Amino acid sequence: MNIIETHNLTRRFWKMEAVHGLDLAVPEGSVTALLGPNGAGKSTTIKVLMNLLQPTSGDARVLGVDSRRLGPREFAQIGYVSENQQQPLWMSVQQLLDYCRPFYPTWDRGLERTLLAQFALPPERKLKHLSRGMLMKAVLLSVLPYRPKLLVLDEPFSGLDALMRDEFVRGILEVSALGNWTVLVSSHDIEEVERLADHVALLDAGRLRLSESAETLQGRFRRVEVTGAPAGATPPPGAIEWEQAGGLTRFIETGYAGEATERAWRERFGGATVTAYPMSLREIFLSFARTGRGEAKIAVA
Amino acid sequence: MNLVWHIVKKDLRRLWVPLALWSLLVAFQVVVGLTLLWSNRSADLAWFDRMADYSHMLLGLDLLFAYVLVAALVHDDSLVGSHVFWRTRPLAGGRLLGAKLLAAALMFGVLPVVIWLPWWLACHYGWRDVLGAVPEILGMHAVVVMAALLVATLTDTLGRFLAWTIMLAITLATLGMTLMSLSHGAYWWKSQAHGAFKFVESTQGLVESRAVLIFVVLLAVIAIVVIQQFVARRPAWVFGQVLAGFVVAALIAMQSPWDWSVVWRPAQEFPKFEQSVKLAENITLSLDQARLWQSPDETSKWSQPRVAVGLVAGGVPEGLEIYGRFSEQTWRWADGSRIYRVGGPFGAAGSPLKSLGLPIQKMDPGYLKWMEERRLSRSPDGGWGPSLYSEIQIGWGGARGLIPGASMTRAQAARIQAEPPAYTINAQFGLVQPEVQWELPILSGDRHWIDRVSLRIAQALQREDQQRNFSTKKMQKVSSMQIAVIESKPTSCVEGLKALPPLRDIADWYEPNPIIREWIGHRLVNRDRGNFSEGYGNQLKVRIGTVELSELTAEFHAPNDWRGDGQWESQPHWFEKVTLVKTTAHEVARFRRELTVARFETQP
Repeated sequence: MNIIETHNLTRRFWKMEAVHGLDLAVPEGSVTALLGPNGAGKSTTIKVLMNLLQPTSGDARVLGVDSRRLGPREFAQIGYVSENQQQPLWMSVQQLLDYCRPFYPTWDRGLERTLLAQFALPPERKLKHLSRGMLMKAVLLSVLPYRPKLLVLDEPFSGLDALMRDEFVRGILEVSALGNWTVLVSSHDIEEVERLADHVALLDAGRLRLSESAETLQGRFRRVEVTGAPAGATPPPGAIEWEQAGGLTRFIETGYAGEATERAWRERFGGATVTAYPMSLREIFLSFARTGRGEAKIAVA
Repeated sequence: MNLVWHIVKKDLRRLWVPLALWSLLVAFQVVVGLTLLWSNRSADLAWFDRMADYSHMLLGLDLLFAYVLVAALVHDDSLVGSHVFWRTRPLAGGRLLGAKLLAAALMFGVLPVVIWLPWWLACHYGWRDVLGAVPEILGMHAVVVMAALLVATLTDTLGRFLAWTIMLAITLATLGMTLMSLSHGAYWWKSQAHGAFKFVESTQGLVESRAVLIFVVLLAVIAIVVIQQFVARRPAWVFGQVLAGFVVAALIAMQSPWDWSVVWRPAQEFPKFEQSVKLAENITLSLDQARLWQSPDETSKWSQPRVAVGLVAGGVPEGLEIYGRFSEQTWRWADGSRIYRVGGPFGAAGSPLKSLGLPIQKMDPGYLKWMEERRLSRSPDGGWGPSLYSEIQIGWGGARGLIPGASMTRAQAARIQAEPPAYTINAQFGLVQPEVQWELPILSGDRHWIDRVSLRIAQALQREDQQRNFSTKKMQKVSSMQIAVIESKPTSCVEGLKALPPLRDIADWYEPNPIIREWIGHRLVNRDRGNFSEGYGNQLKVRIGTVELSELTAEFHAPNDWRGDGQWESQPHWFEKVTLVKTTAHEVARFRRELTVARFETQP
């Protein structure tokens, strides 16, 4: 079952199309990373999902409800953390928790205390006096004690230094271990979510490039090096970033299927030595980004 | 409800510092009021005026600060933008609206009432007065809150809020002025085209009713916009709603035929037609005497001949006094030629002597004789000519009070004298009910409560001066008393609104002669001697928290005894047993009378 589903979702700002025909599914219990460069439409997508913006066309369903009809009952099961969200900075951490608590019937004070200690946040310090990383942790803390079914994190790592980012990721990992929560996290930098995500969706220029589990994605992507390929060899179907330099040929295989693919390579490249390397999500993301820009350049030309 | 209260507590905690500052502004108004009420300095008119200015300034700041506070209240959970904290929390817009309204009610309803309460109690307000004052305080702040809510729900920062406010104020002022000029033009134009178009008579009541209706429509538009913004958040709809509101307001301003002013005007302030007929049924009008005066010097600035007509009004009901409001006079000759004059108020409302139980004071016969001799001996430039004195309620009437240019030409005057014409006067009169509002002994510093009116004689200073007699040019002794009285009284919302200069000006513009008239006078009365002295001075008023505070500073001269040959002498020890009396005269009826005389014969 999918916690989030969008169908042909489009959002325009006047003539500028921020999201175009998006079909996205976030499976229940998954940690889904919504990836894409700046301006790809990630935050717009999330704002539509959270009913902060209205879709121009298409529809989105969150927890089985049309996003335009999300109300208090649904938000009692959703935790939303965004780098851009205005926070009541005049409150202390404890005041923030005290203020949020009555809105959630399922608020767990024990979990609140545990998380407060775990996140090492000073309860009496005002939010405006917290560092950016601590502020994000405080906001995260305010959405966790009611054990939301869906946790939506919009660019939560922006502006955080490496140490803070690591702490934040660890915090989410610890929390996600506490229950079967669905997490949708958006970021423009895959490194931040690589440890978290078990499902990946890639947005570029408002369009969905891919959406699948991280395991599948990493399984079908290989960086391939061919030594001694015959002259005039052509890229196999599904190959991207094809390049030849001297006797060395490099490309990225997007449809790797184990032995069958390797057999096809051997047939295509004759007696050449073919070595396939697994790719990290970051490498996959970058190659997609490069390919996308190349396509965009071609389209412009 | 718990959640609503939870949000309210959050808002009050958030805004407690500005709220405390705002409370101080309200409290300072109370302090100014108490100071004016109790201070010994309040005999100083300039100081009173300065304190009144402070009070107005504090009230302005109070309303301005409240306006900005509403913005802070709404912006803390802003309705605009996609970054708002509360929008992704389990909080319905309706509940948030309820919380904001409750917070606003506590901040701008309960809090000011609590602060004003000591002031009202100090002014001897009873529970009925408090119940009357509370809606005014609430209403005044409600208007500010509603206006601020409109702008605050459409903005998310104070800067934008202020910028929108300025834009809205300019738009409203421009629209208001355009509407007023358009509507006034429309009335005038329609009145020129009787019959051809539907004629809507513009009266103060109609204008007031239209203003109220426009106010209600604007409030409704604000309510719709605010609710819509909290519940649905569709800023684009707002423009349509506001535009529709303006169009409806414009139509009301120009076309609404309904006059509901009877709802907010006390019934007794309307001289009703039936009442007027009944009170005036026995009143008759007759010509007493007519005088024609012209300066023998044709080059004099007073050379134009003037006709003075003395009228006798008989059958005036006991206790009432009569005055002339408006007259049309026509002199007709047999050959069809005529002189026509139209004029405004003539004759005075008279004095409150009846209600005071004092006899009408007659002029000393010796003085009258001396005056007449003097008039006849004076140069032609010396004055206005004959004064017509008669023992009639209306005093003397006729052409004197008419509009400028109503005088005769020398040829017309000569013809009137040579061939007495037929004369007709069609005049409108008013009947007034004089009454004594209060009467106090002159004891400086004492405070008196008469019903809910507080009176304090802040100063009573008796003086003996030597003054040059205007007529004889000789020095003579004059006894006088300077009195400063501080008066406080509760006033109603309607009275308060009517006191606002813009509303008063609009009302006067549409109806130069409003039906409701009231005359107020202060007199020193010596009942032992059966006479009184009228005061001449200044009165300043200020309205603080529904209480009207006024200071009268006036000088009263002791009545003079005629000693012959232009000599007067102040009555000795006259101030020893005087009382200070405030009199009023309310109009209770209006009626018309026509008088025709076959031969208009004049005396010189």
